[in-house]
Amino acid sequence: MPGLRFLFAAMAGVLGMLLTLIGFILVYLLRRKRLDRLKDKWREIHGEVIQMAIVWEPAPGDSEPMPVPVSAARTLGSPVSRQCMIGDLIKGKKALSGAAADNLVCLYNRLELDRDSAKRLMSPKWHLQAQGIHELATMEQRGYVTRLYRFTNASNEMVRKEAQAAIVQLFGFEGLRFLDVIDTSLSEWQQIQLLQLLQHTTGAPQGSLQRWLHSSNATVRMFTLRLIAEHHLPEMAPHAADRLSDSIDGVRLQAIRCLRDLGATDSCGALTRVYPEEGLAGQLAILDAIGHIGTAAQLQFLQDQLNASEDRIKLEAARALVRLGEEGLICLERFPKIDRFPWNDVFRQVTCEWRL
Amino acid sequence: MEVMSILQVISDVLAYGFWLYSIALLSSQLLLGSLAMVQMRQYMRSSSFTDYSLLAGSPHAPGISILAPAYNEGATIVENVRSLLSIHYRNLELIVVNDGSKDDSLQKLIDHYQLRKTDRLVQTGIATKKIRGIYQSANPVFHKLIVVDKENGGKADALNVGINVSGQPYIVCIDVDCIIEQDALLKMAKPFLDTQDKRVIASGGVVRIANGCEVRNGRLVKVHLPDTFLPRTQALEYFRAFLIGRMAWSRLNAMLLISGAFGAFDKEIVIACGGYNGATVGEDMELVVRMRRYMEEHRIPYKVTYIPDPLCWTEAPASYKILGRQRNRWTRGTIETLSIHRKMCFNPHYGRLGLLSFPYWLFFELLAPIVEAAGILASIFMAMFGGMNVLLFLALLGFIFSFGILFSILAILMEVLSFNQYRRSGDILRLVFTAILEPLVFHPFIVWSAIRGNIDLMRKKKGWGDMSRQGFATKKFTAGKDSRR
Repeated sequence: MPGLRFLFAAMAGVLGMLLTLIGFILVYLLRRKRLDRLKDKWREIHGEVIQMAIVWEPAPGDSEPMPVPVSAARTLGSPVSRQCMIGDLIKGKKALSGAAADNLVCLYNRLELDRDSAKRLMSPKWHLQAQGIHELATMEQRGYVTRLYRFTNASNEMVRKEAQAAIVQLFGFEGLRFLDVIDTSLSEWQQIQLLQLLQHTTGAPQGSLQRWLHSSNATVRMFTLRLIAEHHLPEMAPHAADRLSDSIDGVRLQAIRCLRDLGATDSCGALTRVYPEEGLAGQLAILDAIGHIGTAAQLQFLQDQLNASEDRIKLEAARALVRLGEEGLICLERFPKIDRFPWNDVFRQVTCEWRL
Repeated sequence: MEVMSILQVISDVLAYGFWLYSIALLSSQLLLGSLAMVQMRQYMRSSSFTDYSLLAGSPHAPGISILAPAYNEGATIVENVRSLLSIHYRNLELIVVNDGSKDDSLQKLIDHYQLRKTDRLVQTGIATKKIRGIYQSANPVFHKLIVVDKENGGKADALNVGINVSGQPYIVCIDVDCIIEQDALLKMAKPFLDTQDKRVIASGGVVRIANGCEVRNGRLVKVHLPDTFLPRTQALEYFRAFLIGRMAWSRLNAMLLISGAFGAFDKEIVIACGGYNGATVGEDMELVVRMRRYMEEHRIPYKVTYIPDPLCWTEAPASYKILGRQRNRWTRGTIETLSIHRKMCFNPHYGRLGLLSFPYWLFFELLAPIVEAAGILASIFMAMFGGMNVLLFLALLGFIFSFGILFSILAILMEVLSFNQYRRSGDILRLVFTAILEPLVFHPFIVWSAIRGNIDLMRKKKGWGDMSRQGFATKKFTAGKDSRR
């Protein structure tokens, strides 16, 4: 029967695939176990080399390069071992700073591992390119900047983002030049990553910051505002305040937070002026900001917000009053409806938070 | 003669019908398998050099509220909460909702965490049962913890209370007795931050089986394959479901289900949709479908993502009785959800949701047990009356049997190539043997439980039934019974 023959053939095919898969799994596991044992052995040797490198100090007047034990040099004949070493060095570099971190970079160069990382840049596989970029940036290989910069416009999103982060990691604020030309969005994740890379960098270029605040790319404007707040640049407060009239909600929200973080007390007037036009999120952010940077001049404004129909506005206004100190607390206590629901709950909550 | 020819016609129609259904089902499984492999490879590659730790201490990390409903968890609640408080994340609040427990869950929390009743204005965006009190700790070490005591109203109601109390833009809904990895939130938060052109409204995580694992102080210290057959089969089943099924649907941006044990959501969209639906036992699936429907109807570009890393560990039922109740409930939940949103089925207005995911769930998740059972019964009947070639029937059964095993082996392969959690020698072989036995022992029971679920729903049965668990208090977690709603 043709149907039966077909079924048996199909079953044989499936059984064949089954056995092949099971065989593949077993062989793969055996090979991985073997490789894991090798890696453990390499890691032991690499660990000793890395520990030596971390504490190494050249003798005064000594121009000899960092010594590398023969046992380590022998293990680095295999590309897998070299990749293992790169991985360990990167972990160590991320965990350390100062001379110890510099020594790891020295060791990376001494072992010519930059060639392995650079080779990955040539791979047609995007994840290898991105990994190569990541390794070169982490190990401070500024000599590769021209090649890395080419990737800042790569079609693959992961490669592009990794390259942009790499340039910033290597050159600080100078590396943010790509913000002048970028036509794709900077995701929140990327912004957080860039901010972290710049956290210990100084010398934010004010001219560039002003230019980026007027970028046609909304995410660039948002990122710039975050940068200004992160690096405490009070001289940029007036420029940040200009963004309170931005057409994009997210940019305006960021501008409000920036002014709060800058402690820009004299922008409270601007904040109260734009308040009526903002949506709920913007209004809550403004109240929060005034709670941090406001003065006695804003007490009446805050008390007026206690009459808002939205309970979250009432709560945030009450919080802001409490944050402004004793005058604010008195203002809150003297609010005529303080004994009625929901103001009584609001009052109890904010005073409880303040006590905690 | 006429009767025989009618029988023959019926037999042919049934045979061809079952053939077509089987071909469609098996083809869809192959397609899902291929998509899953592509998506897994992409994910493993992109996450290999992602530094999740940059979120851990970042002031820019979005605030997250973990919502953990609890009912009669007195035996393990203190440990569970301690485990949750140790999660690495800066802007975190943990909201434990005591859903009218009859035991001493609340008192244990109050005593251990130095809780005091506080006043807190609760947004009443979603209607819920009455809140009896909100507690926070006097000890600044536990400042992230909020405990809400409420009247009993069920899991959905407890989660809705948590949503109302939450002060953060994102919520992570979990089962309080699950073990969550310390970096879980870092990985779950990333999709919400890394997509610019679409709004990520929900992100699902993988749930793994903790039976047989070593647990110490509420943390998983060593992963082992379950020793007993039933949890081990479920581990295999979860591989198929999470590593293949959800991975593939995530690639298509057509995932309909995020596990109630571990899922992250955009709170604003959850509230806009009305929160969890207490009228269904499948509240987790129903919420995701409703959120997707909301976004489709409002034409807002969106995504539901999925993180395949093992981030959440749970206890699988170790007895057929409890397993049967669980699967019965899952079936009823699926039927209720698909029924509530039946408007979407084959409706092009809902894009992939209406044309792909919904029909797939209807025909290949919901109807599959019924078709399978009917097919076997019809075949036996036909065989008895000479209307079917017995050899053909056995060959067909054998083919489907071996294809099922193939799919399980593929899931094992994906686990080995990706996270490879089971490293004891022999674990993978045990899984392979489990895959061979599963169609003979486990699968018929699941089909039977699903059919009972259909019958119970027709009899208008509601509720979860008693779901017994042992909990993670013991050093090595083993199969057993305990109390759970």
